[in-house]
Amino acid sequence: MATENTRPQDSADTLLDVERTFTDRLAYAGRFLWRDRSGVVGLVLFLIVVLAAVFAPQLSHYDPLEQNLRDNKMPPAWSEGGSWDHPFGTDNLGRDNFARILYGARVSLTVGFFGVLIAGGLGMVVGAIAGYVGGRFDDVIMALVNLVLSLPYLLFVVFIASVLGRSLLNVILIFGITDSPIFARVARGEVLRMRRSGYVESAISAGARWPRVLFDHIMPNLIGPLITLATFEMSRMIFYEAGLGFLGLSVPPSVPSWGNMLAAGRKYLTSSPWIAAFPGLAIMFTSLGMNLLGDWLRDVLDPRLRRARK
Amino acid sequence: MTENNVLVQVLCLRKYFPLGGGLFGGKTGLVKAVDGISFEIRRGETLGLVGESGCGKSTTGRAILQLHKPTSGQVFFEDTDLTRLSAEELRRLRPKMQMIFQDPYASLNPRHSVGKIVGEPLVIHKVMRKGSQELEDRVAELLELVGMDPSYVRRFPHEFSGGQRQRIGIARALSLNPSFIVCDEPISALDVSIQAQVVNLMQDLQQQLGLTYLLIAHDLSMVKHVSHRIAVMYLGKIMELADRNALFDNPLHPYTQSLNSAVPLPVPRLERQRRRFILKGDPPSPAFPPSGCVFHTRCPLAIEKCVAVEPEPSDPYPGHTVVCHLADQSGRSKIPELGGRAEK
Repeated sequence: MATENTRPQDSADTLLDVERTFTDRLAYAGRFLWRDRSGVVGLVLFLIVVLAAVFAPQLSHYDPLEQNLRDNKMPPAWSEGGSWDHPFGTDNLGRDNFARILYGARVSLTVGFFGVLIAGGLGMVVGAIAGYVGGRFDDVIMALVNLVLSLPYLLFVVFIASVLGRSLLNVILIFGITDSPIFARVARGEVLRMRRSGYVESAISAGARWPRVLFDHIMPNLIGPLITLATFEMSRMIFYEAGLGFLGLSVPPSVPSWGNMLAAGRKYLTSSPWIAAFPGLAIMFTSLGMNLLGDWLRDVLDPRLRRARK
Repeated sequence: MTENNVLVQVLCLRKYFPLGGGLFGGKTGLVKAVDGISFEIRRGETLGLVGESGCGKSTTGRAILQLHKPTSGQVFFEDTDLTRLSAEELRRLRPKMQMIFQDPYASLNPRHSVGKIVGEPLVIHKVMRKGSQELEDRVAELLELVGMDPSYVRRFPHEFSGGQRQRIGIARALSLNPSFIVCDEPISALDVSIQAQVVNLMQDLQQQLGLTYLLIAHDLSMVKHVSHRIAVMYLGKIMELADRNALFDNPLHPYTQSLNSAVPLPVPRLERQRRRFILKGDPPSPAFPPSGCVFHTRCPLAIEKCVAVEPEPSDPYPGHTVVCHLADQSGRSKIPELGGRAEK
């Protein structure tokens, strides 16, 4: 064994050791992260977006909704006619682009986070139970999952948006429901795989009752793949929310969201390209960051891939 | 049951798995993984259970431990019929019967430390409390018993080799002082150089602790080495059951003979001289077993009766049970290529 004479602290598994203290694990995660530069890039991009969303009022003194038609379509600061007062310029109504990007991050992250929370929570519980109980229950649940997956997603969104109106809550609910089957499938597959693996069977043959089997053996091994999936799905939701915003199906036009900004900037693409370019870049970097982060998480949380990374 | 030296008695055990299903589909068939087998395991012995892959060996082991609920039949452990117990009653009996698993890579939870894995059965049955000194001592003792350094308790399964992992699995199985252990192909996933170590460890432990083993394997030479008695399975049924020596020196069932002829001999001169009989084809699907004797499709000696009538177990010699129409003391069931006197 390669690890025969290394001390346990140096082993790659320490991230999830129960025995380790929290600071130990944090230090370990840091060291591990540093070894994977694309993970660092992903984390930095993600943190920038989070900080932008949290500290939006402090980072820009402009109200994202305040119109100032005299200063409309001002180019960004570094090009001719721009001013550092509006670093990313202004849009067709003279609203500060920088402030709108910052506040737009709030919408994107809210949709992404709560959408994934609903989808993940719902999918994990349903999928894990289906996989664990099996039989008729599993058949019914899986049929339901396939039903939801077969719904034409865009049509569903148009339908909900026109019936219930355009609001942040509706967008979150739509994403939460339409995305939960993916979590359910992954959770079910993992549980099925684990049920056949020896350690679950050995726990049962040792006399473990179902709560121990579920919470001690199955759940901890389920968290890794689901966190990874959640990162990718969150990036996807942010992407799709922008897409819906562009089509005018997401939050109301008054809310500064990246999708809405893209839609508004489309008309001025040739004359004032910065109006659409900045929200576009914001979407791109957020998505890229989360995908890199997800890649890294997948490798860190899976003990089998972890060794290869070293 | 009746005799005191019998620890486990299996009576007409069956385990069928339904095929098909789905939301709307009904059952499309039954896989008769284990189809009416009976045998007993005596206290302190090793009963070898051999057969081709897919013949139901592992299912038999799991059905005895009630990890698969048997379709029908009875399993007596000491004097208790395990098939009639409630889940809770069964749970309380579990410490007495444990299992060693085939794949040492899948049978240890990758997120648990060695100490937690080995100590878990003790915690489950509230023999010792989690985190107590008593538990730590017991785990260290168990690791030492299986020949591992007790300082490994904080390590994780992936830091060990296959053989070491299997030792951890054995330590876990021993933690509750069981009297009966089902060993499901305990060495088939290990390197050949490690196999002997694990086999010897199992034998030492048997003598030290008075264990009774059901050894499931497909490696005949290993089974021959460690078993006291051997049962040969084919397509969910037991074909022949005898003392180790009787089974190898005087195999009565044609299937046993062909298996036997595949075991390499350690002496090159004998190995060159001996004749082999290799069976043709694959075993039939257990979902559609052949009529009569399940072995007749591949048996070189099959007669019409074998196709039509299912043979009953008979005992041509004391303690030597065989399920074959031709088997008796006359030697009619010997394959002639192997030197038997067949008169067909």
